[in-house]
Amino acid sequence: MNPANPSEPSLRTPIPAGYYAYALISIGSAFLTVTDLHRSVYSVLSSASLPESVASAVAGILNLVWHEFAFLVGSGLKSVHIFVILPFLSAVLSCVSGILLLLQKRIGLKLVLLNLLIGSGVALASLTVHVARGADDTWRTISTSTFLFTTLLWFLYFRYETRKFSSGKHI
Amino acid sequence: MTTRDTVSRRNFFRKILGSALVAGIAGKQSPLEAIAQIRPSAASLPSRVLGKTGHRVSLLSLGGQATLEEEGRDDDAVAIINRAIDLGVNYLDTAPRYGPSEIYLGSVLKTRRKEVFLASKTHDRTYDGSMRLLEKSLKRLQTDHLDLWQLHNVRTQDDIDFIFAREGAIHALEKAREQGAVRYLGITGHRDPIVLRNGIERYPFDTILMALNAAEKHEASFIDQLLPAAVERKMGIIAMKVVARGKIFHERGLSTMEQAVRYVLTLPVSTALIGISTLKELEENVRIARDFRPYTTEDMANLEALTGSYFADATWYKQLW
Repeated sequence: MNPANPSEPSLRTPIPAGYYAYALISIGSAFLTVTDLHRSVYSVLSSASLPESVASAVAGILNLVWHEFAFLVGSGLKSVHIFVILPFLSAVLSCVSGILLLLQKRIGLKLVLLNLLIGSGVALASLTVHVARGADDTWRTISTSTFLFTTLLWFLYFRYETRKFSSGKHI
Repeated sequence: MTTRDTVSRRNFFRKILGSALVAGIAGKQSPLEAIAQIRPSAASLPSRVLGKTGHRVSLLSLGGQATLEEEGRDDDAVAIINRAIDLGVNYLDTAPRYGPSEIYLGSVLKTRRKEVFLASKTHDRTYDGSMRLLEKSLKRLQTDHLDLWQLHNVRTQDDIDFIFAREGAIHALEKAREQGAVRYLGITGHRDPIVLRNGIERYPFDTILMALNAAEKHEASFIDQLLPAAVERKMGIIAMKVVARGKIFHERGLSTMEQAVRYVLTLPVSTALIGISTLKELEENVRIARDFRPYTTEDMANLEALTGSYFADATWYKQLW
């Protein structure tokens, strides 16, 4: 039971390392996306002399591709509003779910699953648009695919955690 | 021959001999060998000012299409680029979308960069995507800057909206100019003159690359709906689709390259951009530009009238892309 609110069950303490990792990526990427500092990460990756494929994969794993998704989905639907707003919506959802996860709120786990589900859907839609247009930007192809793959892994991980939680093994 | 011609020719030979002697004295080759390597003067092709950039560009420019966009044509492409520069063509245009064109140009420009005004483009509508394209273009062109970076093939109002949105490509253009990676900014298109006019009303681009030819007068005309607005803004105006990949020629219409090129050069443009397939073609185009005399208003109207029966075919580029 959550001592602050007896009606809401809390997650187990200590928090699993995976939760910390996810929260860090979610909150960090939200901050970088909203402030456009994701470009500084791109610059660091470029200056590290990594091959483009590795750099774009790292960008995908670190969740720094929402501007790409916003363009692909937005242009696919011919909506400049989606292009402008999508990165902010994703940042808000990622940030809130990351914080609630760290605060051990049960709703946090559900929000994480929702965030991952939306993320996979958007990534899949983006990849479809990108491939339909000829996939002429390797960065986009790799970062989007890596994001999709990573998001699905995170989804399986949190789904497993949720089941553990529901079956009481977690409390 | 005038006195002025004589003097400038004398100076020209003095320069050649002087350079040859210096090279010869340097000990690596004889003066005659050095003369053989000196390229013909680039001043022989007439030039015009490229709008507010203030640069003088040759009437004829080299487009990055035709042979330059075909894979496996390294030798032909390099020969065309070198010959074009030798003949006084000083404006070279390319784009990441034109196959190996940037690579071919880069192999020549690594030693001849200062002789040309170099233009490339971004077809991406986002900041990040455009920056990635610029980085690749610079690498392929073997240079540290472009003279002109343009938004490639702006077709619809959606394109304009995306380009000018918060994360749109226009901010990449501005950033690149601020960083010194590009000097001037431009916009290009051949589909809808109204869309391009919206673009230049929204942003003070330095140049515009647009479709111009005698068949353009008949429908959704770049000549009537866009050219005056570009002139009014003192933009550098670069003409493309001069021969519309050969479709401007017709048994009951225009029949010679000279007609097509002279028509376009009579318009208030800075330069006419033409893709080249062979050295012979290049030399013929240079000859036309060198001998250029403007058409009269009546001649222009006659040529436009000649394209009346096949203008839809000749302006195929408005429908396809």
